[in-house]
Amino acid sequence: MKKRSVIVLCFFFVALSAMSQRFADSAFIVDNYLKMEKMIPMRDGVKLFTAIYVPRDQQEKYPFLMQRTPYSCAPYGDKLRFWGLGPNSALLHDKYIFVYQDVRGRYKSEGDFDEMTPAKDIKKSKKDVDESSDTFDTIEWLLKNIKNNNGKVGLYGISYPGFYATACLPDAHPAIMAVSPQAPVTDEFIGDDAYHNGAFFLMDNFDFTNYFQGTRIDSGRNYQDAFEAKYADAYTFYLGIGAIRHTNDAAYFNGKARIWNEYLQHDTYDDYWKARNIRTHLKNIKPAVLVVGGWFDAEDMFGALHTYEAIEKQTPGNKNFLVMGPWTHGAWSGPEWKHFGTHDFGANLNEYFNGEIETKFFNYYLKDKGENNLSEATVFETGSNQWKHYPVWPPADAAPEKLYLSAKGKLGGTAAAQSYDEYVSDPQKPVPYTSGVYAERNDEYLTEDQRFAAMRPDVLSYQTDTLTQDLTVTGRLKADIFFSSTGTDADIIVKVIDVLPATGDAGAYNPKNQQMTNFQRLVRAEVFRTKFRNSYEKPEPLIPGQVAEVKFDLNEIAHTFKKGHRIMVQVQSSWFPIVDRNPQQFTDIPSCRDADFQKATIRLYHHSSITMPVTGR
Amino acid sequence: MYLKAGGKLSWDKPSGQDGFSEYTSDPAKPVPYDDGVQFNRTRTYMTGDQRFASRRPDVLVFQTDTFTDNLTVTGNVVANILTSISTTDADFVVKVIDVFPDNLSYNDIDIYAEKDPEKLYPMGGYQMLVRGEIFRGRYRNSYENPEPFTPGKIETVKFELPPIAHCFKKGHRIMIQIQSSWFPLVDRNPQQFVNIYTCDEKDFIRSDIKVYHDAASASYVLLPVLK
Repeated sequence: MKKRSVIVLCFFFVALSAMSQRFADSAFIVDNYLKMEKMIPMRDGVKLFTAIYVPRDQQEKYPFLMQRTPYSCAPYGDKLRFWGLGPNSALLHDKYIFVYQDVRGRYKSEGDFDEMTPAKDIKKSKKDVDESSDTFDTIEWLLKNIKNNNGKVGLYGISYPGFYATACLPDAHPAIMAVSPQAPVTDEFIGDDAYHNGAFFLMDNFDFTNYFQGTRIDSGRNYQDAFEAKYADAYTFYLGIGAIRHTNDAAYFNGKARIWNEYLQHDTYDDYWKARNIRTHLKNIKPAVLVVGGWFDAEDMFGALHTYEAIEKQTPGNKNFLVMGPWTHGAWSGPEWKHFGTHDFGANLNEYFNGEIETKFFNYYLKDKGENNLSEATVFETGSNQWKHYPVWPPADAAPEKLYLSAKGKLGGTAAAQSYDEYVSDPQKPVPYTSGVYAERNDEYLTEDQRFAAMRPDVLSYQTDTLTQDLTVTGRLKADIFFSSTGTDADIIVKVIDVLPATGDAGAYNPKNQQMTNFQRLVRAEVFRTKFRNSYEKPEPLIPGQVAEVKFDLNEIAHTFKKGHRIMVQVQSSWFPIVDRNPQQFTDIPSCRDADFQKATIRLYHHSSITMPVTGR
Repeated sequence: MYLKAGGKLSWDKPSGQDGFSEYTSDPAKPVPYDDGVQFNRTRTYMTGDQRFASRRPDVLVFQTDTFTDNLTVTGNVVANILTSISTTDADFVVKVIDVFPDNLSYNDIDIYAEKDPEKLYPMGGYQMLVRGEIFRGRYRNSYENPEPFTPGKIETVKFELPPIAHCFKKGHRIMIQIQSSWFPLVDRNPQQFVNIYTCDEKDFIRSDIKVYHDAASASYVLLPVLK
């Protein structure tokens, strides 16, 4: 539950070596930092609760490193953040003035909370506030009131706090020198958290909103869940809820959760979502930016890649860096990351990230310490397990190669517009996103063996011959799908899979003793709700039986399909319960009824393709 | 115990007309006999969790309400399936399943208050196979003289499952699943009345299977209840 916040904390409890580091850090915090709590006034009179940890020694002037959060700057009162201060342990020991702030309307701050506060480029009065102005006003206060500062400020944050880091960038306070949006929530209709390409991410948001829209208690120190959802098997639970309107039954949100209602009400890319797309405001950016994201991030992979892209395109020349590693949501913030799923990365990747990238970035821009030898893009290539450095991202020299989903399950055969494969998609029996039974989202689903899906009649699989040499793909992955349905709406999920050879993978991390022979390891997947195929603003019904085309991106990829492996693509029309079920008719999904969910026969034509950006062979 | 519309299972006979449930059985995507990926036949499949099968579109699921008392079933189990198929042969797998309560624990613990309840209390919601058996439809009238089905015509497939001696406990449910493959435990049926041992790969075709549950054609499973 509450994935956007709690997961990060869990990483502090990973390994014994990490534990001892944590104890050392706790002792260091007690010995070296003083804490104060202030209500800092904004220009409109609203006061924001801010916890400030100042180095006890005054030998040098220190910069500020600030995180603004909707998840609380706890602990409140005299207690210290014993589990850590700042983005990593090295920065803690290098000493900064660490600042945590509850954003407007959350926890102990005054004012009203707004989901993904819309940025206002033009502010006409002191009543016109946004996250940029709140950050600005906070910094003004800090520079004047906290002694011994060096006049420089950095901001960072993961996930929702990542959004607040991005949101300080337009019209940034001139003292802001370095900002690191990490897995930042960026565009919640197109690719992050709430919707992906118009398909609603049911399970994540149901859990999250239950906490996020709970009642503030203990004078703002805590939130009480809106309701108690009891289940140990998410698939059965969400299927049992039925049509999504029933999430507002008395047992659940009961119509009372504002943000949940907003999510459901705004089921097209309307002004609500456009106002919350921070990308359009990333112009004329001055601070150096370090964007960080994970290849196994189920929430904000899109946000990381597209925040970087938006700054590159709209503020050319800005010091804007990208780091993408094989991490889950925020996993770079823990002390250790050596393996995930069946991947063994061979080394602790967080040591490299924290030591060589994050610490150097902030020290260089905030303390004039060390060198800035960061690559434009530092990207971990899965499959070959190595960091790679690029002067341009995505790599300019990638050769797009189209692979057709052709007849007889062959990937990369000849295109044929007349022939097709078909399946019946039944909303009563949606394709699970993961094998097995889980209460919470199984994070490993993004790299899980897909044989459980390949065995189903409602999943189509296409695979290449065995590769005779390594094939490296780096950059944006595109799908171009020609299909028809007997219904008037459909979801299309495209999954790109690395099929291991019959000999398995000698280097695999396999504590669960999985059968690695011919393992179908998921590399990248994305969903598209096809009524948005021509426009996210104005959905259009499918015409039953008539071929339609849908083109979409599967984010980006940096992966080597090794010699002896195969590339597989799977196509299906449900991905449950991470994505809500499509009734498969063109209707108002948030208000439709259980009886509106209908079976549909989907035909996938053999001139459908994926395009892979090939960078090496 | 009668199969009913809406996935229900109960002691009383269905009263409606033209009631059936249907699925398409595709020999290219047979229903696995067990969850997961294994080299060798598992022994545990005979008591395995059938949720992986419930979630498939080619498996029919019928279940009772929650029992308010224990129900002990001892003896022979007979499946009597009224079916029509779109081809000339099909297999019928009938599985008798004990569905555990969602919140099953042995110490009155609120499992939902625990972290990872599905790992700590894996029997919550478990669909435990009690008995499963297969019948190759062409032998429905005689093992000596197999007969093709007439596509679309309702016929009876009646067979015995191995006996059971099992107590479905208070708070549990009985579930019946019906499917037309059980792979690779059982070879695939080409779903046409051809010689299976000499036929070609291309002879394996999809079949639309209807299982009836109305007044005129009531499918049921006979359970010997011990009182």
